[in-house]
Amino acid sequence: MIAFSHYDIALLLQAMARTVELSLGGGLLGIAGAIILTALRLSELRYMFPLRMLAVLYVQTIRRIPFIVTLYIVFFCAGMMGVDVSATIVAICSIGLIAAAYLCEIVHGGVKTVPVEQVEAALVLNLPLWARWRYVIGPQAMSAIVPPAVGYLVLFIKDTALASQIGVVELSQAGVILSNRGLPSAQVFCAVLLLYFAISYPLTCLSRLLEKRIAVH
Amino acid sequence: MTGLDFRPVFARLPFLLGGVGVTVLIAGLAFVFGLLLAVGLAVLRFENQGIWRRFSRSYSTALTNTPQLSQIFAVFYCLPLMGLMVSPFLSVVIGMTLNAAAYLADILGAGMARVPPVYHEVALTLGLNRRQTYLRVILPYAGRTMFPALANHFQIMILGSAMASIFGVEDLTGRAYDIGSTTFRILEVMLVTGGLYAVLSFALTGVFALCRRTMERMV
Repeated sequence: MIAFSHYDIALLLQAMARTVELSLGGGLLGIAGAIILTALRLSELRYMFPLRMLAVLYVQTIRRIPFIVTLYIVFFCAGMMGVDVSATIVAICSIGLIAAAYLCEIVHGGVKTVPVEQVEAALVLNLPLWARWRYVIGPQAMSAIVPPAVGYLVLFIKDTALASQIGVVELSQAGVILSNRGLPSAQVFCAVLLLYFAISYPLTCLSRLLEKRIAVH
Repeated sequence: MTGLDFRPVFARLPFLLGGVGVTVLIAGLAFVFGLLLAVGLAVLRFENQGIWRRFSRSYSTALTNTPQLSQIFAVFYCLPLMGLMVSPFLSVVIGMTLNAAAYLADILGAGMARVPPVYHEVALTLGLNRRQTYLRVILPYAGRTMFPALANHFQIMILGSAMASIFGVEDLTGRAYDIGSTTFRILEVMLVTGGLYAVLSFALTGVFALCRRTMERMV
């Protein structure tokens, strides 16, 4: 017997949309952050040295702090500085901060897989900076970046479940709300897990497909 | 940003540090039990037996595609319905064990696939039975080649165990939240906690590197 009324289903679907919103927003912020961080790490200018070290420190440290602690830090930091934003924005920013660190490792690693001769050849041909990245390094690094990056984005979707702790009503929180309303817990949590699976599984398949098609071995 | 005051936090530092032990205990228990389950799952997957193989695969697919938090919630709310009254600590450990088993089975399975066919033939020639072949040849080899991936997953589990605080377990994050709500210095305490997690993780990286070097010397 299914005990959901259509209000309950509407709540679940809205919560699912919120989860997708958190993942997309966080992922996009993370990609932008990762590109900036990688650019800092790869810069060879001398006066960039402190920034380069900061970028490395950031990437190494943030990946060793649990997501929920980062989330609390950003949440209470925003509160203390008097920035009045919604919990959703706070959650998106935190996901972006963490995603940037993880994706930076992937992007940096990917760029490093491009053989140094390729870069030297491009220098000898006197290609300007943007052309080196657009035609030589970029296309070759992509095959080492995209499959693991998609794999990590799948992980971030599951981390968004923690945003419930600062009051964002996303999928896992909707499950708790429905369960507390007195709906049968087993059915509620089955539904929540199935909906997460519906978001995550296609992306897992995509990541595997990319791994097969374009990854460098 | 003014008004950061770390003194109340440092006054309660011993209590907070005690949480590190709980965090390591949760992650450690879940890792050990998860690894035991994962060995079973990986062997099922490796032995070519239709339905069990499919079961093992689907188990990993199902649990790696849903968040650990929701899995723990499901355990937390559903076990009492089945008449099993378990403490929050135990339900977190059970939830994390089930989750870890899925990931570790994937890792071990990949390791077992990399065992050179010659090893199987040698085991067969030596007259080892199936149990001996797995325990003495295949699993040690897979464990050694997959050591970095296993160690990495343990680190992920240390970070994941912070979820225990949501269920009222007094791990590092749980104690931090406690201190935050009694002293109202939540930002300070969370900054210190983040630092402690980073230190713990760097220390573990060192320990694993040492383990790996010792293991390589033994071979």
